[in-house]
Amino acid sequence: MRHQYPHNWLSFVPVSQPLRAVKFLSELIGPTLYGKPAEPATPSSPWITFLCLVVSIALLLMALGHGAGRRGEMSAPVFFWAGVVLMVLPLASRIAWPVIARSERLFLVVLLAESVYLYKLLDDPTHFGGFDELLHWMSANDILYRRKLFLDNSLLPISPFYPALEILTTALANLSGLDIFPAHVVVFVVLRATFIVALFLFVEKVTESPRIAALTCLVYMACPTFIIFDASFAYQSLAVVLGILIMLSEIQTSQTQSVRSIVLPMMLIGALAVTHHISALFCAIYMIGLFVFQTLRRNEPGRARALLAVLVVTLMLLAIALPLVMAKNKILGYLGPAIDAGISSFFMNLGGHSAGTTREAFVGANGEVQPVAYRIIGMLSLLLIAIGLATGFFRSLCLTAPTTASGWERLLWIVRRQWNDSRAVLLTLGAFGFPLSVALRLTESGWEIGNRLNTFVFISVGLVIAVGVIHFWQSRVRYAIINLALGTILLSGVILSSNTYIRGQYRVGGDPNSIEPMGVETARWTRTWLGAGNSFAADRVNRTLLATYGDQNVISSLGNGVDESRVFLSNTISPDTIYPIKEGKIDYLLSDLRLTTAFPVLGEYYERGDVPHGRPPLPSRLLKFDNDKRAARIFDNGYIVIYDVRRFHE
Amino acid sequence: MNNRDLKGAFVWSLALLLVVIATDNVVIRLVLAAPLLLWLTGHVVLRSIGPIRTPLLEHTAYAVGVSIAICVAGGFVLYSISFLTPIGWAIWLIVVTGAALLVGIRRRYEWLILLSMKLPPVRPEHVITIGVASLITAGAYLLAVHDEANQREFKYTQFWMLPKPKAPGKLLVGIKSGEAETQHFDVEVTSDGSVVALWRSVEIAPDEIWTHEVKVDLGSHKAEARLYRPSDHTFYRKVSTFVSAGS
Repeated sequence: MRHQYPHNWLSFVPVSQPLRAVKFLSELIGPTLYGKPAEPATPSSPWITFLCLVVSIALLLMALGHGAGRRGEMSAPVFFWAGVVLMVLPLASRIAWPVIARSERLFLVVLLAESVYLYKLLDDPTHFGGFDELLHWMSANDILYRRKLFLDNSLLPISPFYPALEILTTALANLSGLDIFPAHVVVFVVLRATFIVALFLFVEKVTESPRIAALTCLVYMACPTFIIFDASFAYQSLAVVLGILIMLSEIQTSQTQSVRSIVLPMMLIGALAVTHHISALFCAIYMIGLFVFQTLRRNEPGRARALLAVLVVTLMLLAIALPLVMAKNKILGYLGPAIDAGISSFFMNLGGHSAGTTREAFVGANGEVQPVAYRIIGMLSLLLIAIGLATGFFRSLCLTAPTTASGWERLLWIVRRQWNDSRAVLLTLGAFGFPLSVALRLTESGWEIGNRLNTFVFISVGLVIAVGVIHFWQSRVRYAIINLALGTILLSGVILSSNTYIRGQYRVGGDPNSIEPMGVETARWTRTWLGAGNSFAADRVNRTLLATYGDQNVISSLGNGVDESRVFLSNTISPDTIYPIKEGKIDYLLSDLRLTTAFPVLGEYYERGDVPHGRPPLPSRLLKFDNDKRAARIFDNGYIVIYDVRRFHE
Repeated sequence: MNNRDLKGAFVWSLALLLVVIATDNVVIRLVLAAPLLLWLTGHVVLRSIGPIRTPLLEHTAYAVGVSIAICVAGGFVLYSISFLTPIGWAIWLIVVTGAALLVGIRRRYEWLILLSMKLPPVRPEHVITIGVASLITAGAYLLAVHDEANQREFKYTQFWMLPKPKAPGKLLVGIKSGEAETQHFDVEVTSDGSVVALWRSVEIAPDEIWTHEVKVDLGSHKAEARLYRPSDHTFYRKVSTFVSAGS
């Protein structure tokens, strides 16, 4: 039962009586639900077509912005951000509008999801630019051209054990004759739509409200990982789609309670098992959590719980245990240190011992501070999310309480373990992961975990904020303010999604911003003139280019356990300098002299923690092999030099 | 149970095999392959096995997921028989749709629920607006492609020298221009301090590759090549290589 809120709600604002303050706070965060407008049956064609036109103009403005950025023109941010605002605000406003048809909402969230994907595509329209993308492109090339799975990937050793995305993309490339990049675009357009539709249907089933579902999708799209990271050609992009489909199909299994119905989530779990480790882990955590809540819930049908138990066991065996048995060392070697360092770093910061592990918000690894406007929007968004969570938390927690009561009495039903849908309770509690992810993102070692946590936590964040908006804010403030708040959260998602938004000129150690034709040409030169499969050592960016465009075997601490940074960064050629060459049997060294011009955007030249204090490395360090008889400078283009160092280990 | 879609999917997969064998036309192959690989196989498997009854929209989402699962399974099967080829994939899809058809023929009940959502009324002006929006979006993409292709921040000339494989004492000197305009260079190759080859005013147009073979004394250790720019008397590049490395 929904309640009409008194119009003079501002009278609760505390003036002098403490009781009024408590009552105000209680109304603010309490579980009472207010208002639920009926939805008309027919979607509005004029609005849909108008918004399609607006989005296309927005994309054109963004393309103009990127173009201006590539030419180094000052107008780039004006075009680009005008495009982003035009893409985000009108669509967000219409999706959040109280009275529109379900199908229109669904169409518009799909439109926004695809627009956000095109936003990413405009940045790198014809080739893979992201670091992770290049790692997976390497595996995909192996499958497409060598027609083999499980070949070693020196850039990402764990990748061959999770080949689902590469199999899917190369299957389409094989059948269509397309190259891997265009084939992946086709696959990702489908994946994006599927993900957002599945998320919409999932939340709609849990809350029985298409509007809450649409708003959840809208807030989810503000998740920084959704915009770039989960749109990259990397295994997690496929895994999140499979994960949400598993969650959706579990509801279906639970409703039908037939053994046959379990076939569908089983098939999806099988695919997830060979797609991505962390996503499988989060999916398992969700299922285990759901099983616990189903067990706690009173009057839960035993058959539904048994079916869920089967899913949990399957997930644990197929997606967690089996990969660990097959590639224990590689998986633990890859994930273990990151998780360990992240947790340690988090607790050290919690205990007030920063020990150089803290990351400053809105400051890049190279010390570059974000513009004031970005920082304001970012902080404002954080505040708005916090308000949304505070006003939506108890309402969302008690959303499926089987009572018509209002106020805190609803919470008593939850405390008594009586609710209609355990998913709503579990997802609401999952919102606690948001502050955790923010805290992790502020640590040097934990930000990667915090970043990945966002992908899953934002489903909860989206749900809680959506419930807060619909059951509290919409009857109190103007829609324009709600729309502006949602737009700000989305804009902040764009800002937090990447280090640099507008395609610009070359930057040192900036992954996509460091990839340009000269580096690519050099990598291709190695394949043409030296042949494939030579052992190369190079900086982070050239390493990926050599492994992909050059088809070379690159040496790094991640792939081979050989830290090659001292070969380049040491002052002289000493036994310590040439140790990695001998240990890794390195044939060639690639020295990029552009590294000497600036600190790396992402905080590493070759390996993590190799940035010297004070100033970038001197060119003489990178060119020290010029004077050694055992090395030959076989290639020079003025910026990049390649040395033949085979004589050091032959 | 109406099996027209199952039969259609099977015929579609047969057509794909024929197209894969007969033509390299990317458009035709993509139009046939993408729907089959990313949706249709999942659809026919869900229709034939019928694990759950769902509305069309939900069925569509599941069909994509199941198609992915089938594709991944296909990857492992084809890899195990060393058949990860275009024809191998086309045959795999025939096997899946064929199996779904066989199972579907034996079934007598309908699982699919038809679309429950109302579609919006469409007028000519809506179609025109969508058409214009599509054109603008395509224009935005083409503009991004154009700008990316024309971004040449660095002007450079690649210069290299390598021992010629399986040819002891022979070296290969090469130049590739990444400059904006045609350049002239002098190239000098020395071995143990003495000049073994010299080319004057070599003209290299943008993107042009120039290579030349040089024979040096096998007794020498290292050879060095220098690139000079005669227009401003600049020493431009220097490379070196081991003489015996390629032997």
